[in-house]
Amino acid sequence: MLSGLAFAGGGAAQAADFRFSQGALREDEIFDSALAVPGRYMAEVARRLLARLPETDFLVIANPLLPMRSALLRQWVRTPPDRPAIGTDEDGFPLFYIIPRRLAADLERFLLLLSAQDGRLDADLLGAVLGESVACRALPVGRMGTPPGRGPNGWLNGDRRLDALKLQAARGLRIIRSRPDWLKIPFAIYYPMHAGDVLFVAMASDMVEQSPFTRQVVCAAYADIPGACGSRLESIKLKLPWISRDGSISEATYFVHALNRLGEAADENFIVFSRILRLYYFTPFHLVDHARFALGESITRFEQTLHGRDNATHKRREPAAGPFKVLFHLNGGWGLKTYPKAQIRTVMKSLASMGIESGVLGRPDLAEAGATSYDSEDSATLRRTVEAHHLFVGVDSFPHHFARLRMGWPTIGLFGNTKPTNSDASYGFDYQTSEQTLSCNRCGAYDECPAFGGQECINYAPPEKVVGDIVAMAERIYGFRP
Amino acid sequence: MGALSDFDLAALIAAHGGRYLVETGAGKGDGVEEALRHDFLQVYAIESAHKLALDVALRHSENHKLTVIHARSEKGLREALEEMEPGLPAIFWLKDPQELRVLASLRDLSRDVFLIGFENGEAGLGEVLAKTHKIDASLAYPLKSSA
Repeated sequence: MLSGLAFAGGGAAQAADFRFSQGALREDEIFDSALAVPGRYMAEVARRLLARLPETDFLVIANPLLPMRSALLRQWVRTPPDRPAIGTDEDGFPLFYIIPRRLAADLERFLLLLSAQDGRLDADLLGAVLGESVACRALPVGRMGTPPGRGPNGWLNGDRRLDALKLQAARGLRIIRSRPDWLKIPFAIYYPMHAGDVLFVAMASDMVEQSPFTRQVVCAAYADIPGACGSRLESIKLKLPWISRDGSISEATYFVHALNRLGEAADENFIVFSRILRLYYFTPFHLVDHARFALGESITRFEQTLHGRDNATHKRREPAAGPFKVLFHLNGGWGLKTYPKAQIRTVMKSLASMGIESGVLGRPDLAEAGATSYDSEDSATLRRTVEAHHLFVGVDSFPHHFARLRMGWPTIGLFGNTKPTNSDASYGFDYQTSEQTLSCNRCGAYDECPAFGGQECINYAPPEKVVGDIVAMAERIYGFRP
Repeated sequence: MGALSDFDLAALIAAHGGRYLVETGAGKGDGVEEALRHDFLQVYAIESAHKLALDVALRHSENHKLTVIHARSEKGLREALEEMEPGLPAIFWLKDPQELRVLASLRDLSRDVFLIGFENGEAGLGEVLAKTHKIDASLAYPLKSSA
């Protein structure tokens, strides 16, 4: 639930309530992006209100961390405001923000820096941006406390990652106070890992027409990816290994280290923490679209989404000389995302019996199944390796997304315990996925199957289906028949 | 295998002017701790095990004289060499003879110092150095092997 009020001179007012979209994009729904900070949703509410009441002077916007309706805001703000302020609980936790039109219209990007948890800090930040005092007004509503691990409005804080928002707000305030040229300081999206996610943000940046972001913080190990994916964002290289997926280090702790590591770059940019603030797989939206929203695009109609676009490829490719070749990538970022070894051996041997050669990325252990293993430690090498094969078949990981979303290569996506719709591509002549569509997908587990036990995901398509899909696509695209 | 602290780094720096320290197989970071006691322009620690690399990197995240590279040795050496001034001498603390071949293909090694800590110490080292044709074997300081 997101809500806001708009007030204009002469007593005109407008109230609005929005839901986080679960897939549809109705007029009262706002795209649910896992990468977008609370301030991005405030900006979206403000945009919608300004569109409905263009002569708005002041906006009242509920804190996106809290599920509140506009009726409640009206009880708290009964008369048209004439100055910016923040309404808080008894501990100073922000309940709503009263902002002037110029902040939403001309200085919208600074909303991205808000902590949404510390009223005094946010008041100082907005005051510095606006050049006027912003009051905090405590309301007798008790205490909100620390946002829970998973809040009622869908925000994640299990590892106290929302603390990172306080850090970004404090640093933003420091920059504004210390730099006379603060209005010209670039905004950088902090989304430094992992490889597939860096690709999604890079590709999103090329689709967003207007964004406050001109830079992206990227782990050094993935530094070649934005350029290889046509990113419009300049990379700020973060010389830290990527964060573990095992939760041993919290996102907020890692963010502190990242800022330390960035050194001067952290003071030369407004860095907006965008690391998985909400669960992304509750909606069918593609992660590229999640990134587009976080970068500033509203996305209000289905045809604007990645899934709403047609896969325009419907023609055959010329068969290359020599044997038909399929390149596999089988290792995801965790155990359950790796296609089972026994099954892929069957796939490869079956293909070999039909005269189809198998290559595989980074799996010398599959040599005994007849596959040639290739190392691919950068995007350029990956591109060359993919181009040397007719089809790409890969799990939900960077090579799959690069081969399909960037290169447009004929691809079959193998999905196990992740949901295809969040990271697939437009289906059609030269792209499809292959899975069992079990109802346990997406389970969210990493190493142990919570439904059936074991360390392999049984949602992966069995060998006979994978082989059948490969042969069918080979004939469809190249006219190849074994 | 030995440890970096087995060497008199101060003496090596004084004798050869090493301005960088590059370590492969950095492990838990013992070599890094030792290297950071000396006045190198930059210390590069290359480690292929993600958890080890991350632990060392986070422990020293505020020290900008240290760069931890999570990568296999060859890729890590390439990354480190891209940042290093070619004309400034370096001390390499290596764990695998193949790394010498990689280095010889990427850099003029005539001013560099090599601390060799791989298993079986000197066995095969002369052959490796000879094949690279660019390494002056007199500048290598092989450890006494425990193997």
